[in-house]
Amino acid sequence: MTIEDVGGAGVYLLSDLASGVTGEIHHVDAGYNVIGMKAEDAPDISVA
Amino acid sequence: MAGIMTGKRGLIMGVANDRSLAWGIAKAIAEQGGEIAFSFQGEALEKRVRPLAESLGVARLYECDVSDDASMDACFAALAAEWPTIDFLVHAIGFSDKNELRGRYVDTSATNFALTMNVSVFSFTAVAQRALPMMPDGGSLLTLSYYGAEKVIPHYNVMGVAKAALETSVKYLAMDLGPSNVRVNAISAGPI
Repeated sequence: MTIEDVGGAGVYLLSDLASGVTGEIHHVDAGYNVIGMKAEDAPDISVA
Repeated sequence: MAGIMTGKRGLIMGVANDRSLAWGIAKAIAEQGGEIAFSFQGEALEKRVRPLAESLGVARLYECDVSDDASMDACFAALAAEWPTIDFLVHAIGFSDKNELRGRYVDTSATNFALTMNVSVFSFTAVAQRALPMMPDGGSLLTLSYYGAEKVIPHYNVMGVAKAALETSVKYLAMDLGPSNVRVNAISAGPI
């Protein structure tokens, strides 16, 4: 992830484009949170 | 430059350096035409934030210690003196004793538990209390969380407990402020 990835999502949530969005915990993590078990051939995921 | 934030202005609290998530958000707001003010805590951070602010052409910087009511009041009063109304606020503030961000959660002290919850959780609510009167036509509040709120991440410890409370406070604040057309959200960012 980069701070620019987070910046893009942040400016969306702050703008009127997100006028219908509130109370939301918006993941900006390249899908990390949806993984139950990594693929057998996936590289190890490092968590800083 | 015109963009989706043209005509909007607001406060970003907690930029520490050019690797901060809040800095990524600040750059995106500026690119989209928004006007920004920054708050910082203490001289050391001011020295790092000021040149970043200047690189975006931002002149408004305010000292703000979220653990001190008087400092918070002074910060928002100073901002309101220049900008009576704002459209957005970014809260990127958290703190815990680093000695307790290693080892086991079970060893958390009462003192650091209270400090971590106050600075990392309650401060967002305290900020909302002060921002709301400055958003008569609505607005958007944003805070930053982490996966450690949902699942156990080694060494994240009491900060994970705090982020869980922060995420829940986002939901309660969203309900409370919805009728005022003020939205409240969090970004849970993955490792940078």
